[in-house]
Amino acid sequence: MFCGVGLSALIGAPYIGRPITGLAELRVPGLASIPVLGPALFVHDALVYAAVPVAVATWWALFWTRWGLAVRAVGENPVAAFAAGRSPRAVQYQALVLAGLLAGIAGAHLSIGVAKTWAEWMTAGRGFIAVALVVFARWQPLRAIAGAFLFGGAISLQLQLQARGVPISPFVLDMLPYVLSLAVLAAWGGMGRQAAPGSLGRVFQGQR
Amino acid sequence: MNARAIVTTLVTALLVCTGVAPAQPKLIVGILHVGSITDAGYNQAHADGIQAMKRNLPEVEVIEVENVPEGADAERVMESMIKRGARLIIPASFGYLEPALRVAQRYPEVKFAHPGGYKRVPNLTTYWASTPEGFYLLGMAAGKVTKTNKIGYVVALPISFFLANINAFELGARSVNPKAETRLVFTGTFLDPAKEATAATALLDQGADVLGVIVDSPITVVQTAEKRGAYSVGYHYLGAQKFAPNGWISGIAFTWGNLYTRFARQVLDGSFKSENILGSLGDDLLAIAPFGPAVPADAASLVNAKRQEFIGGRAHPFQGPLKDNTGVERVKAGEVFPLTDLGKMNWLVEGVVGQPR
Repeated sequence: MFCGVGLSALIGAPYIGRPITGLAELRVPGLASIPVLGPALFVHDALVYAAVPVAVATWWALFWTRWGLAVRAVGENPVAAFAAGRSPRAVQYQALVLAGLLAGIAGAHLSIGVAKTWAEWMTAGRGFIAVALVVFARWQPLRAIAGAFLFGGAISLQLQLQARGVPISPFVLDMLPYVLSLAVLAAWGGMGRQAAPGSLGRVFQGQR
Repeated sequence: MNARAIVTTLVTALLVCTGVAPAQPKLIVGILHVGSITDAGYNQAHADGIQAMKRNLPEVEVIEVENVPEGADAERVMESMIKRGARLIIPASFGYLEPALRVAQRYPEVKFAHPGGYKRVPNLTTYWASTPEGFYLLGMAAGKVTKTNKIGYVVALPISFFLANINAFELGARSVNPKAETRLVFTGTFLDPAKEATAATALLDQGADVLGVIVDSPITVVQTAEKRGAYSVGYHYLGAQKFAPNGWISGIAFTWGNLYTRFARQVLDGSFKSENILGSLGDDLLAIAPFGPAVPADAASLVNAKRQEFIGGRAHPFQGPLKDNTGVERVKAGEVFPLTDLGKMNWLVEGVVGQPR
């Protein structure tokens, strides 16, 4: 992780303090002018609209394709997958590259979609909330959609509540996403363990 | 060739040789930045100061390190600067105070200058500039420019010095526009552009048409305001208006160049002493950025007149009677809240929408 942070700092140094044009906001014709819901749901950049379909596509790929079956098999029991003729290491690297790609797009969105500037360490540890999200979703991409709205909403909500002048301490509001993460992990922890892939975190010692 | 010519030639050769040999710099200055020196904010103000010092004193060499975490890393960076010959260290972040004090005690021959520090040792001096008067002036300009009478402020943390700035800002705005209201959003951190953008957008959605900012880099907030056609006021650095050519009102900025030059000269001539330097509008440590096109001429002259009153000591930003935003009287009529007590200002003045803790 720290290698990535350092690398991004090295490559990104010339971009600090420079405005970025960023992604354009796309208004969905008609729907965008609905009061309250319109601006909330239909005035965003392309990546925001792509987020839900990507999660659905991930679910489809994991549970409805041969490749997804291989990924899940390697996760549960790489030895069995190996015996069935799959190369666990190849599958693991494919999954790793894909996950890294998606996480990279998510991080890039902070810069080119939200802030439209770049600064070192601007993800500010948001990726760790993704770990809580995986536990919350119990390794199920469709549930992760709901979880992402919940966690993302909590981060945004505390700023929105302050802007609306709600009389709650900013310190308490700032805790919101983290308290939520902890609560979810504590409440679902037991079930989460059952949902986690059986060989998660174990190194496959096979041949290929 | 007579004897005289030979001597002249030898002397010339000697002079040429000593001239060519790498001259030892008279002084090496080390500066640590907590963020990036191109942030158009807190860090760039310090970096610009050190550049100005280099222009004034070309014989001084500078070791500059960016993005140094506050803590043990800062100590290591300072020690390595000292090993490379630095005799003046500027740990340019509030959080470097404790590491700097520890290093200062280990190396009594090295001098240190710390911004905003509240503790000193014989070889560590502290400096800062008083900002409430400047914020009062920005408030006046913003109060004149706002059409919705709502000003949004994105602030890192509710610490007393920031609350004092916000209070002064709101009092300045009210002095020219009794309906002006300042709304606060605390982001909880000095650098998180994504949160700052979200906070800025939330404030604009609540009807604010002027945005201000107290985080390390004003870029995100100023730029967000500009994109939405709103106005903005800056802080820390004079060059921030390039991010808002239309909506820029003004900003207050630290200009550390002359101070850093003085520090370097003092180390060179041995007159360096530990003191608590507090700059103000009247000296060369603090500047008001040029007004943007949004500020009408009468507002600009009002602000300039008030500025002269502050400099002359004829006005005070916290002149009583003052009530806080829960209705409690905080400063009695005829009294002022002393600027030396800003560390105790744990309330927000009437007209500010926000929670002080």
